[in-house]
Amino acid sequence: MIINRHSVLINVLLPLALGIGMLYGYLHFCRAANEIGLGKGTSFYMPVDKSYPIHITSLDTAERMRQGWKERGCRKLSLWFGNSQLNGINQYKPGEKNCTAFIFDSLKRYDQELLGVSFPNGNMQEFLTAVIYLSNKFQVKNIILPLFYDDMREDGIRADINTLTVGDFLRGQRAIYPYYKDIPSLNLIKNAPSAFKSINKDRKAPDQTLQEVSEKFLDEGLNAGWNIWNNRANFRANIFNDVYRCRNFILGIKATTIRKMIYGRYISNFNSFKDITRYCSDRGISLYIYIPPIRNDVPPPYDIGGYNGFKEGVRQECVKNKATFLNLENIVPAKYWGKKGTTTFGGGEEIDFMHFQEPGHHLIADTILTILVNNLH
Amino acid sequence: MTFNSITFLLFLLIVVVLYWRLPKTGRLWMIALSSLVFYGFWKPQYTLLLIFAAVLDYFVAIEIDKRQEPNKRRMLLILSLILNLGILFYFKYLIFFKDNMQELLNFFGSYVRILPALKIILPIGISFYTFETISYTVDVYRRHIKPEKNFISYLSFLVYFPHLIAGPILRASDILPQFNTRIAFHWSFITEGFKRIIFGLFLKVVVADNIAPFVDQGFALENAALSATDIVTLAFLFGFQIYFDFCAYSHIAIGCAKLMGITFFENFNFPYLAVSPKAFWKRWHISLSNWIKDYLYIPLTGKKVVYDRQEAISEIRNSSTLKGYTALFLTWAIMGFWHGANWTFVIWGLYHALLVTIHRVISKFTGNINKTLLNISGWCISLPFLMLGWIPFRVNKISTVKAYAGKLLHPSQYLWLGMRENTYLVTAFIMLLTIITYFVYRYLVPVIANTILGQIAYLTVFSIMIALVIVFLRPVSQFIYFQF
Repeated sequence: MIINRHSVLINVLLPLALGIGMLYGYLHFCRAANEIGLGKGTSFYMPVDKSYPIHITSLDTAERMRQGWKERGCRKLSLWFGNSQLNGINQYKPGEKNCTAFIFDSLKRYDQELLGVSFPNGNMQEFLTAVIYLSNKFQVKNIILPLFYDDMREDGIRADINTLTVGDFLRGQRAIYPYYKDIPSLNLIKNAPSAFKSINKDRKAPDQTLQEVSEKFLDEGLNAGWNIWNNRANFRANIFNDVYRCRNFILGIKATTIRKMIYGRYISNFNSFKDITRYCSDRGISLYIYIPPIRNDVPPPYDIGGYNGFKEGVRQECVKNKATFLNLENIVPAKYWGKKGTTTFGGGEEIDFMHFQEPGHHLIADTILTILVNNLH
Repeated sequence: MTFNSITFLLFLLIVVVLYWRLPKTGRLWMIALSSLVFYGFWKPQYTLLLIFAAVLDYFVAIEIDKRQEPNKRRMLLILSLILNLGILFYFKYLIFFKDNMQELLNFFGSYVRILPALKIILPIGISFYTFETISYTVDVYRRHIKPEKNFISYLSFLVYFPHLIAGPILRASDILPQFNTRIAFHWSFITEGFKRIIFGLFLKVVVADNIAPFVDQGFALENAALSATDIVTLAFLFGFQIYFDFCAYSHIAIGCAKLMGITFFENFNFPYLAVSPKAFWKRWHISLSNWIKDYLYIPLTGKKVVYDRQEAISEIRNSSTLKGYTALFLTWAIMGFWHGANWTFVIWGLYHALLVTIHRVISKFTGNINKTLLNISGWCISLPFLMLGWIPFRVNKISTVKAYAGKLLHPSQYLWLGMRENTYLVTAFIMLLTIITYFVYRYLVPVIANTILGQIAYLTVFSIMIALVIVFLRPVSQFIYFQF
């Protein structure tokens, strides 16, 4: 084969141009990374107060939320943790609000406030880490935490929790409190320096090497000047979503498919949940644990025996560590639940088991608000 | 500087363009200086160590060559070995040694602190360049090569950035003649180099980095949460991660060198399709296996090193004596220890020595079996054992190795699953893809390479690879072998 400058054209420049061209083509089909997890039909709602977030989905913005809390006078604080149910609104219409925004507004008259923290598909190890971190960053009076049976299958620590700042802070705490040694999420942070679930991260935390400085400079330059580069996080999310849909298509997985509990994950998550109750009890933080709303017009995609055992286990753990247990399974009626885009190929819609419409947010907010107000003193 | 970064790609572009515009001496200076810049992007002060290693062996090799008296030659060689291995010991093994000594003292009831707490940062690539500089001096001592008279040539060989951090482990006899010739530019260098770099980046940023979270999460689980099936799956997954990660590095290294007209030997050849543990080590990290064989194993067997590779291999075949097996186990223990200052690496090495020994014994009785059947059964039996060998390599405590081994030996532990379904799916998918890739590469590519269909297939696959590299290129994780 004769290799000359034309072969460079065919072997180097043409594939390069085609590769970039493919990305421009794919860009038209790309959705924002944070919308993908929710599926079409459900929207993210991120409430703010005078430009300060009052609900966050990443610990990267915790400091900004804290500034707002301080500026408002460091009022007595409740933190409401959860997954995407907390800030996802099904069939969202402009002007609608989520449950944390409702309570934030209502508590003003009691000189208290509530802030929301949700991690989509968050697991208990992540929540434990976030509870320890945020309860030391804020003066927290109450913590509200739903326990999703689904999410007991989840694992890993997302990148924003596994940052140097949070990791170092927790390692410090670990030295102070001996029982932290048993906390699996801290072991995860210690043992796994690579960024988990890092599809939205393009760089490691800066460690002051020349490499990091130059990488940051070049990355920022490319982000500013090339929309393909700037959309890489969205590309990655869409690619993973397509792989996920492909898997569902091949294996025939649908929203109604029963999810098997994963023993290892369940144990890790339940242990972390126990650590949360123990931690709050030791620190004098009132803990409200609830079994979250689920559609009651169709059978849940769970193994019912396992689900009932889970609820009972959660209740017993709450009793043991003086946490308040609430079962809010049936609080949102069937009419306030909707559908979402399918998670397999072929278009169409499927039942959304996780996110409800705005009236559902009203109902759950009212319940939580009543409890908080009743426990004001 | 890490290969999977925009900084490196920009650096490479500048270096390659300048390189081809310079005369021979200029090129050597270019290689030496750019390589020091490449290394200095991590910790500039550690470039002094590199320069020291180069200066030391440059002069020692010349002195060895000048002397005729065997004793003096040997003394100079020992001096070089002591200094090189001393530096390696200080940076890589002193803390480990101190901790073990302390534990031993504590065990015997003494609580005297032998050394204060040490904070030593391991210079990346030190194990690799130490081996290269040692092999150079030993080759001069054995009169296999003449010492390099031009210091910049020698410095360039030692610090040449494509192989500096994680190999392939080069021999002076392979590289110095290429540096000392003014290679004429050819367009094939650009096309071949570019292809290898893209393929390497694809393996690293698209494949290895996306396997990493599964591996990290799995190994971070408590022992109680893992079944024996999970441990086997994790062993396979980590095996794939380290293979794609390290193989990626080698592809990029070979590609970068090729852009400058320099040829490196291949470092991998579908290792997971090896039909025996011995065959595996002829396909995995080939440059290290050859180095260990030539500079450690054969000398330990007491045999003379012959610089014809075929003869050296035949000597190994005839090493089924007590001395041969002692050399084998000792070599593997050292090879394990070379990878890291932890007893788990020694276990990893000894485990492989045991596999090779078992294979040697079994192969004495398999002479009459049909070769195809032998290969298929050899692969089916060897692969799981080779993969399980990655467990002590990945975990950092002997207690964890013991706990995992206990589970693997318990039949009831194979009856439940502790990880997400995706973990098993991904593992099976990668295994299948590896086999398919091998057959496509081996049987389909040669047939269609020069046809229109082949060109279209190449363009499509390569364009997709480029697109994915653009999307996934992020220096969020180092190459695994950087830590060695």
